[in-house]
Amino acid sequence: MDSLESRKQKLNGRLAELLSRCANGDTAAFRALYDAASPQLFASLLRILRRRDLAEDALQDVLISVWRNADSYRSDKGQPMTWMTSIARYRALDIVRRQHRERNVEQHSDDAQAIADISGGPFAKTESAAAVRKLEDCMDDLSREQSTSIRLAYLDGYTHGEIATRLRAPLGTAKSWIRRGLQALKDCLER
Amino acid sequence: MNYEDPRLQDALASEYALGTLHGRARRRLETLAAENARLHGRIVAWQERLMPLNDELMPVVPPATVWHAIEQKLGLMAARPRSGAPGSPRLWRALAAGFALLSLVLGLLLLDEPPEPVTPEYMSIMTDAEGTPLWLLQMDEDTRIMRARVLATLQPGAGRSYEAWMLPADGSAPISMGVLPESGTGESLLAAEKFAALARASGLAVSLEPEGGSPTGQPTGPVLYSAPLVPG
Repeated sequence: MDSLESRKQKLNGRLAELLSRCANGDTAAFRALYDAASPQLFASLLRILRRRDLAEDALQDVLISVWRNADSYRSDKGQPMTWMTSIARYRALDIVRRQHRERNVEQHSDDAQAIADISGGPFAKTESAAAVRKLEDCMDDLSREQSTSIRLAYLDGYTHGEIATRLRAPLGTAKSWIRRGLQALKDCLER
Repeated sequence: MNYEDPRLQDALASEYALGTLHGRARRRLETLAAENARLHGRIVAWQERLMPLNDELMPVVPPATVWHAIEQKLGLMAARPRSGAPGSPRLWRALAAGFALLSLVLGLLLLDEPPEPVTPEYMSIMTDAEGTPLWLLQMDEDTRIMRARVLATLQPGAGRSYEAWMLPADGSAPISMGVLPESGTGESLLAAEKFAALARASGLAVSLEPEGGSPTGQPTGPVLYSAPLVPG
Protein backbone atom coordinates (compact mmCIF):
# COMPACT_ATOMS: atom_id res chain seq x y z
CA MET A 1 0.00 0.00 0.00
CA ASP A 2 1.36 3.31 -1.00
CA SER A 3 -0.90 5.70 0.84
CA LEU A 4 0.77 9.00 -0.01
CA GLU A 5 0.88 8.07 -3.68
CA SER A 6 -2.77 7.08 -3.80
CA ARG A 7 -3.69 10.18 -1.81
CA LYS A 8 -1.89 12.29 -4.40
CA GLN A 9 -3.65 10.57 -7.25
CA LYS A 10 -6.97 11.11 -5.54
CA LEU A 11 -6.12 14.75 -4.93
CA ASN A 12 -5.17 15.29 -8.57
CA GLY A 13 -8.34 13.57 -9.74
CA ARG A 14 -10.42 15.78 -7.50
CA LEU A 15 -8.51 18.91 -8.56
CA ALA A 16 -9.07 18.09 -12.24
CA GLU A 17 -12.80 17.86 -11.59
CA LEU A 18 -12.78 21.12 -9.60
CA LEU A 19 -10.86 22.87 -12.37
CA SER A 20 -13.42 21.89 -14.97
CA ARG A 21 -16.18 23.18 -12.70
CA CYS A 22 -14.21 26.42 -12.23
CA ALA A 23 -14.10 26.76 -16.01
CA ASN A 24 -17.91 26.87 -15.87
CA GLY A 25 -17.86 29.61 -13.27
CA ASP A 26 -18.63 27.41 -10.23
CA THR A 27 -17.37 29.50 -7.30
CA ALA A 28 -18.00 26.76 -4.72
CA ALA A 29 -15.64 24.54 -6.71
CA PHE A 30 -13.09 27.36 -6.71
CA ARG A 31 -13.28 27.62 -2.92
CA ALA A 32 -12.78 23.86 -2.60
CA LEU A 33 -9.83 24.04 -4.98
CA TYR A 34 -8.35 26.88 -2.95
CA ASP A 35 -8.67 24.88 0.27
CA ALA A 36 -7.11 21.79 -1.27
CA ALA A 37 -4.23 23.39 -3.14
CA SER A 38 -3.28 26.62 -1.40
CA PRO A 39 -1.27 25.22 1.57
CA GLN A 40 1.21 23.54 -0.75
CA LEU A 41 1.36 26.48 -3.15
CA PHE A 42 1.80 28.88 -0.22
CA ALA A 43 4.68 26.77 1.14
CA SER A 44 6.43 26.97 -2.22
CA LEU A 45 5.90 30.74 -2.47
CA LEU A 46 7.10 31.31 1.10
CA ARG A 47 10.24 29.31 0.48
CA ILE A 48 11.19 31.24 -2.66
CA LEU A 49 10.03 34.70 -1.59
CA ARG A 50 10.93 34.44 2.10
CA ARG A 51 8.52 37.18 3.00
CA ARG A 52 5.00 36.49 4.17
CA ASP A 53 3.52 39.66 2.70
CA LEU A 54 4.98 38.95 -0.74
CA ALA A 55 3.94 35.31 -0.56
CA GLU A 56 0.37 36.22 0.40
CA ASP A 57 0.11 38.69 -2.48
CA ALA A 58 1.62 36.16 -4.88
CA LEU A 59 -0.80 33.45 -3.72
CA GLN A 60 -3.70 35.78 -4.56
CA ASP A 61 -2.28 36.37 -8.03
CA VAL A 62 -1.71 32.67 -8.61
CA LEU A 63 -5.22 31.64 -7.60
CA ILE A 64 -6.75 34.43 -9.67
CA SER A 65 -4.72 33.22 -12.62
CA VAL A 66 -5.86 29.62 -11.99
CA TRP A 67 -9.51 30.76 -11.93
CA ARG A 68 -9.16 32.77 -15.12
CA ASN A 69 -7.25 30.05 -16.96
CA ALA A 70 -9.18 27.06 -15.64
CA ASP A 71 -10.83 26.65 -19.05
CA SER A 72 -7.42 26.25 -20.70
CA TYR A 73 -6.29 23.47 -18.36
CA ARG A 74 -5.92 20.12 -20.10
CA SER A 75 -4.27 16.95 -18.94
CA ASP A 76 -1.41 17.46 -21.41
CA LYS A 77 -0.36 20.42 -19.24
CA GLY A 78 0.54 17.98 -16.49
CA GLN A 79 -1.26 16.89 -13.34
CA PRO A 80 -3.39 19.70 -11.89
CA MET A 81 -1.08 20.14 -8.89
CA THR A 82 1.95 20.26 -11.19
CA TRP A 83 0.25 22.84 -13.41
CA MET A 84 -0.67 25.05 -10.46
CA THR A 85 2.72 24.62 -8.80
CA SER A 86 4.39 25.76 -12.02
CA ILE A 87 2.21 28.88 -12.14
CA ALA A 88 3.15 29.61 -8.53
CA ARG A 89 6.87 28.97 -8.96
CA TYR A 90 7.25 31.12 -12.08
CA ARG A 91 5.24 33.87 -10.42
CA ALA A 92 7.60 33.78 -7.42
CA LEU A 93 10.67 33.66 -9.66
CA ASP A 94 9.40 36.70 -11.59
CA ILE A 95 8.96 38.60 -8.33
CA VAL A 96 12.41 37.84 -6.94
CA ARG A 97 14.15 38.54 -10.25
CA ARG A 98 12.30 41.81 -10.74
CA GLN A 99 13.27 42.95 -7.29
CA HIS A 100 16.89 42.13 -7.95
CA ARG A 101 16.62 40.64 -4.57
CA GLU A 102 19.79 40.60 -2.64
CA ARG A 103 19.54 37.25 -1.10
CA ASN A 104 21.81 36.67 1.75
CA VAL A 105 23.45 33.80 -0.02
CA GLU A 106 26.65 34.22 1.95
CA GLN A 107 24.79 33.71 5.18
CA HIS A 108 25.64 30.04 5.17
CA SER A 109 29.06 30.29 3.71
CA ASP A 110 30.11 26.99 5.16
CA ASP A 111 29.55 24.42 2.41
CA ALA A 112 28.89 21.50 4.70
CA GLN A 113 26.36 23.51 6.66
CA ALA A 114 24.70 24.72 3.49
CA ILE A 115 24.37 21.17 2.24
CA ALA A 116 23.15 19.88 5.59
CA ASP A 117 20.54 22.65 5.73
CA ILE A 118 18.91 21.70 2.49
CA SER A 119 19.33 17.99 2.11
CA GLY A 120 16.06 16.55 3.26
CA GLY A 121 13.11 18.53 4.49
CA PRO A 122 10.50 17.88 7.14
CA PHE A 123 8.72 15.18 5.23
CA ALA A 124 11.70 13.77 3.40
CA LYS A 125 12.04 10.60 5.43
CA THR A 126 8.79 10.29 7.28
CA GLU A 127 6.39 9.44 4.50
CA SER A 128 6.92 6.89 1.83
CA ALA A 129 5.59 7.04 -1.67
CA ALA A 130 6.91 5.41 -4.77
CA ALA A 131 7.51 8.58 -6.78
CA VAL A 132 8.91 10.51 -3.85
CA ARG A 133 11.13 7.67 -2.74
CA LYS A 134 12.34 7.05 -6.26
CA LEU A 135 13.29 10.69 -6.78
CA GLU A 136 14.84 10.78 -3.34
CA ASP A 137 16.92 7.68 -4.09
CA CYS A 138 18.04 9.17 -7.38
CA MET A 139 18.88 12.48 -5.69
CA ASP A 140 20.97 10.49 -3.21
CA ASP A 141 22.87 8.94 -6.12
CA LEU A 142 24.01 12.36 -7.30
CA SER A 143 27.07 14.05 -5.89
CA ARG A 144 26.19 16.27 -2.93
CA GLU A 145 27.08 19.34 -4.96
CA GLN A 146 24.74 18.26 -7.74
CA SER A 147 21.78 17.44 -5.49
CA THR A 148 22.28 20.57 -3.38
CA SER A 149 22.43 22.77 -6.50
CA ILE A 150 19.22 21.22 -7.83
CA ARG A 151 17.40 21.71 -4.50
CA LEU A 152 18.61 25.33 -4.23
CA ALA A 153 17.37 26.05 -7.75
CA TYR A 154 14.05 24.22 -7.50
CA LEU A 155 12.96 24.86 -3.93
CA ASP A 156 14.66 28.19 -3.18
CA GLY A 157 14.55 29.69 -6.66
CA TYR A 158 18.27 30.41 -6.73
CA THR A 159 19.96 31.48 -9.95
CA HIS A 160 23.13 29.81 -11.24
CA GLY A 161 25.05 32.78 -9.86
CA GLU A 162 23.47 32.56 -6.41
CA ILE A 163 24.19 28.84 -6.25
CA ALA A 164 27.81 29.46 -7.21
CA THR A 165 28.10 32.09 -4.47
CA ARG A 166 26.49 29.97 -1.82
CA LEU A 167 28.51 26.87 -2.61
CA ARG A 168 31.64 28.91 -3.25
CA ALA A 169 32.25 27.60 -6.70
CA PRO A 170 32.96 29.26 -10.05
CA LEU A 171 29.81 29.97 -12.07
CA GLY A 172 30.74 27.44 -14.75
CA THR A 173 31.15 24.74 -12.14
CA ALA A 174 27.74 25.44 -10.65
CA LYS A 175 26.17 25.34 -14.10
CA SER A 176 27.73 22.01 -14.87
CA TRP A 177 26.65 20.54 -11.49
CA ILE A 178 23.11 21.38 -12.48
CA ARG A 179 23.33 20.25 -16.08
CA ARG A 180 25.01 16.95 -15.26
CA GLY A 181 22.90 16.47 -12.15
CA LEU A 182 19.67 16.81 -14.13
CA GLN A 183 20.91 14.41 -16.80
CA ALA A 184 21.96 11.85 -14.19
CA LEU A 185 18.62 12.28 -12.44
CA LYS A 186 16.72 11.51 -15.62
CA ASP A 187 18.89 8.49 -16.38
CA CYS A 188 18.33 7.18 -12.87
CA LEU A 189 14.55 7.74 -12.95
CA GLU A 190 14.28 5.92 -16.26
CA ARG A 191 16.23 2.89 -15.07
CA MET B 1 20.43 26.82 -32.63
CA ASN B 2 18.54 23.82 -33.90
CA TYR B 3 15.58 23.57 -31.56
CA GLU B 4 14.53 20.25 -33.12
CA ASP B 5 17.62 18.56 -31.64
CA PRO B 6 16.08 16.31 -28.96
CA ARG B 7 19.07 16.63 -26.67
CA LEU B 8 19.01 20.41 -26.81
CA GLN B 9 15.25 20.38 -26.31
CA ASP B 10 15.58 18.17 -23.26
CA ALA B 11 18.37 20.25 -21.74
CA LEU B 12 16.37 23.47 -22.19
CA ALA B 13 13.20 21.83 -20.87
CA SER B 14 15.03 20.59 -17.77
CA GLU B 15 16.47 24.01 -16.92
CA TYR B 16 13.09 25.61 -17.59
CA ALA B 17 11.35 23.19 -15.22
CA LEU B 18 14.07 23.69 -12.62
CA GLY B 19 13.64 27.47 -12.80
CA THR B 20 17.14 28.44 -13.90
CA LEU B 21 16.14 29.78 -17.30
CA HIS B 22 15.61 33.53 -17.02
CA GLY B 23 14.44 36.56 -18.89
CA ARG B 24 14.50 36.38 -22.63
CA ALA B 25 15.70 32.78 -22.74
CA ARG B 26 12.67 31.72 -20.71
CA ARG B 27 10.20 33.75 -22.78
CA ARG B 28 11.69 32.39 -26.00
CA LEU B 29 11.29 28.83 -24.80
CA GLU B 30 7.69 29.50 -23.74
CA THR B 31 6.94 30.88 -27.21
CA LEU B 32 8.58 27.90 -28.87
CA ALA B 33 6.77 25.42 -26.62
CA ALA B 34 3.40 26.98 -27.47
CA GLU B 35 3.94 25.89 -31.07
CA ASN B 36 6.05 22.80 -30.60
CA ALA B 37 4.13 19.97 -28.99
CA ARG B 38 7.22 17.81 -28.54
CA LEU B 39 9.08 20.54 -26.67
CA HIS B 40 5.96 21.24 -24.60
CA GLY B 41 5.77 17.54 -23.73
CA ARG B 42 9.38 17.51 -22.60
CA ILE B 43 8.81 20.50 -20.33
CA VAL B 44 5.77 18.88 -18.72
CA ALA B 45 7.68 15.62 -18.28
CA TRP B 46 10.45 17.49 -16.45
CA GLN B 47 7.95 19.36 -14.28
CA GLU B 48 6.41 16.03 -13.26
CA ARG B 49 9.83 14.50 -12.62
CA LEU B 50 10.83 17.30 -10.23
CA MET B 51 7.40 17.64 -8.61
CA PRO B 52 8.16 15.19 -5.72
CA LEU B 53 10.77 17.68 -4.47
CA ASN B 54 7.83 19.74 -3.21
CA ASP B 55 7.19 17.04 -0.61
CA GLU B 56 10.18 18.45 1.23
CA LEU B 57 8.14 21.59 1.94
CA MET B 58 5.74 21.62 4.84
CA PRO B 59 2.30 22.83 3.67
CA VAL B 60 1.27 26.13 5.28
CA VAL B 61 -2.38 27.20 5.52
CA PRO B 62 -2.56 30.82 4.31
CA PRO B 63 -4.44 33.41 6.40
CA ALA B 64 -8.13 33.94 5.58
CA THR B 65 -7.30 37.43 4.31
CA VAL B 66 -5.88 35.87 1.13
CA TRP B 67 -9.19 34.26 0.23
CA HIS B 68 -11.12 37.41 1.07
CA ALA B 69 -8.87 39.44 -1.21
CA ILE B 70 -9.33 36.94 -4.05
CA GLU B 71 -13.11 37.06 -3.62
CA GLN B 72 -13.06 40.85 -3.74
CA LYS B 73 -10.75 41.10 -6.74
CA LEU B 74 -12.82 38.64 -8.74
CA GLY B 75 -16.11 40.07 -7.48
CA LEU B 76 -17.22 36.59 -6.43
CA MET B 77 -19.24 37.95 -3.55
CA ALA B 78 -20.86 41.21 -2.56
CA ALA B 79 -18.44 43.32 -0.54
CA ARG B 80 -18.32 42.22 3.05
CA PRO B 81 -19.98 44.51 5.53
CA ARG B 82 -16.89 45.38 7.45
CA SER B 83 -14.59 48.32 7.43
CA GLY B 84 -11.00 48.08 6.31
CA ALA B 85 -9.58 46.13 3.41
CA PRO B 86 -9.35 42.53 4.53
CA GLY B 87 -6.86 41.79 1.78
CA SER B 88 -4.25 44.18 3.05
CA PRO B 89 -1.37 42.37 4.73
CA ARG B 90 -0.52 45.60 6.51
CA LEU B 91 -3.95 45.70 8.08
CA TRP B 92 -3.61 42.09 9.09
CA ARG B 93 -0.33 42.76 10.77
CA ALA B 94 -1.71 45.86 12.44
CA LEU B 95 -4.53 43.69 13.77
CA ALA B 96 -2.03 41.19 15.12
CA ALA B 97 -0.13 44.00 16.81
CA GLY B 98 -3.39 45.33 18.19
CA PHE B 99 -4.22 41.94 19.61
CA ALA B 100 -0.78 41.78 21.10
CA LEU B 101 -1.30 45.01 23.01
CA LEU B 102 -4.82 44.09 23.99
CA SER B 103 -3.73 40.73 25.32
CA LEU B 104 -0.90 42.28 27.26
CA VAL B 105 -3.38 44.59 28.93
CA LEU B 106 -5.74 41.68 29.55
CA GLY B 107 -2.86 39.68 30.92
CA LEU B 108 -2.07 42.43 33.39
CA LEU B 109 -5.69 42.79 34.44
CA LEU B 110 -6.37 39.09 34.83
CA LEU B 111 -3.27 38.06 36.70
CA ASP B 112 -4.47 34.77 38.09
CA GLU B 113 -0.93 33.43 38.36
CA PRO B 114 1.54 34.40 41.08
CA PRO B 115 2.92 37.77 39.98
CA GLU B 116 6.40 36.81 38.85
CA PRO B 117 8.66 39.55 37.54
CA VAL B 118 8.46 38.32 33.97
CA THR B 119 10.28 40.51 31.49
CA PRO B 120 9.61 38.73 28.22
CA GLU B 121 12.30 39.13 25.62
CA TYR B 122 9.93 37.96 22.91
CA MET B 123 6.26 37.50 22.65
CA SER B 124 3.75 36.32 20.16
CA ILE B 125 -0.01 36.14 19.92
CA MET B 126 -1.05 33.03 18.11
CA THR B 127 -4.36 33.69 16.38
CA ASP B 128 -6.59 31.62 14.16
CA ALA B 129 -7.25 32.63 10.55
CA GLU B 130 -10.00 34.98 11.68
CA GLY B 131 -7.69 36.79 14.10
CA THR B 132 -9.09 35.29 17.31
CA PRO B 133 -6.28 35.12 19.87
CA LEU B 134 -5.58 31.51 20.92
CA TRP B 135 -2.36 31.67 22.92
CA LEU B 136 -0.20 34.37 24.38
CA LEU B 137 3.42 33.19 24.22
CA GLN B 138 6.16 34.93 26.18
CA MET B 139 9.82 34.02 26.28
CA ASP B 140 11.95 35.34 29.09
CA GLU B 141 15.63 35.65 28.40
CA ASP B 142 16.91 35.39 31.97
CA THR B 143 15.12 32.14 32.74
CA ARG B 144 14.80 30.92 29.10
CA ILE B 145 11.26 29.95 30.00
CA MET B 146 8.54 30.06 27.42
CA ARG B 147 5.19 30.65 29.04
CA ALA B 148 2.04 29.92 27.08
CA ARG B 149 -1.30 31.21 28.23
CA VAL B 150 -4.43 29.87 26.56
CA LEU B 151 -6.80 32.65 25.47
CA ALA B 152 -9.59 30.61 23.89
CA THR B 153 -11.35 27.27 24.17
CA LEU B 154 -9.23 24.71 22.37
CA GLN B 155 -10.09 21.21 21.25
CA PRO B 156 -7.25 19.44 19.52
CA GLY B 157 -9.20 16.15 19.49
CA ALA B 158 -8.51 12.90 21.30
CA GLY B 159 -4.92 11.73 21.19
CA ARG B 160 -3.73 15.02 19.68
CA SER B 161 -1.55 17.83 20.92
CA TYR B 162 -0.71 21.31 19.70
CA GLU B 163 2.99 21.82 19.20
CA ALA B 164 4.73 25.17 18.73
CA TRP B 165 7.53 25.68 16.21
CA MET B 166 9.98 28.43 15.53
CA LEU B 167 10.41 29.19 11.81
CA PRO B 168 14.01 30.13 10.97
CA ALA B 169 14.10 33.14 8.65
CA ASP B 170 16.51 31.33 6.34
CA GLY B 171 13.84 28.79 5.47
CA SER B 172 15.56 25.86 7.17
CA ALA B 173 13.59 23.26 9.09
CA PRO B 174 11.29 24.39 11.91
CA ILE B 175 12.55 24.04 15.48
CA SER B 176 10.24 22.61 18.13
CA MET B 177 9.27 24.91 21.00
CA GLY B 178 7.35 22.21 22.81
CA VAL B 179 3.77 21.12 23.26
CA LEU B 180 1.31 23.92 24.07
CA PRO B 181 -1.25 23.75 26.89
CA GLU B 182 -4.92 23.31 25.94
CA SER B 183 -6.15 25.28 28.91
CA GLY B 184 -4.67 27.55 31.55
CA THR B 185 -0.97 28.25 31.43
CA GLY B 186 2.02 26.11 30.60
CA GLU B 187 5.75 26.65 30.80
CA SER B 188 8.66 25.06 29.06
CA LEU B 189 12.39 25.61 29.41
CA LEU B 190 14.11 26.41 26.12
CA ALA B 191 17.66 25.20 25.56
CA ALA B 192 20.16 28.04 25.25
CA GLU B 193 20.71 27.44 21.52
CA LYS B 194 16.97 27.44 20.89
CA PHE B 195 16.61 30.72 22.69
CA ALA B 196 19.47 32.17 20.66
CA ALA B 197 17.80 30.94 17.45
CA LEU B 198 14.72 33.06 18.25
CA ALA B 199 16.71 36.10 17.18
CA ARG B 200 16.84 34.64 13.66
CA ALA B 201 13.26 33.39 13.54
CA SER B 202 10.72 34.87 11.15
CA GLY B 203 7.80 33.73 13.28
CA LEU B 204 6.12 30.91 15.13
CA ALA B 205 3.73 28.25 13.98
CA VAL B 206 1.51 25.64 15.58
CA SER B 207 0.91 22.20 14.16
CA LEU B 208 -1.40 19.39 15.19
CA GLU B 209 0.62 16.38 16.37
CA PRO B 210 0.10 13.03 18.06
CA GLU B 211 -0.41 13.38 21.81
CA GLY B 212 2.80 14.51 23.50
CA GLY B 213 4.26 16.07 20.36
CA SER B 214 5.84 15.09 17.08
CA PRO B 215 7.63 11.73 17.26
CA THR B 216 10.15 12.80 14.59
CA GLY B 217 11.31 16.19 15.85
CA GLN B 218 9.75 17.76 12.77
CA PRO B 219 6.12 18.71 12.19
CA THR B 220 4.16 15.68 11.02
CA GLY B 221 0.66 17.20 11.05
CA PRO B 222 -0.86 20.22 9.35
CA VAL B 223 0.28 23.72 10.29
CA LEU B 224 -2.82 25.29 11.78
CA TYR B 225 -1.69 28.72 12.86
CA SER B 226 1.25 31.03 12.51
CA ALA B 227 2.12 34.38 13.98
CA PRO B 228 4.95 36.89 13.99
CA LEU B 229 7.37 37.05 16.87
CA VAL B 230 7.82 40.49 18.38
CA PRO B 231 10.42 41.80 20.81
CA GLY B 232 8.82 41.96 24.25
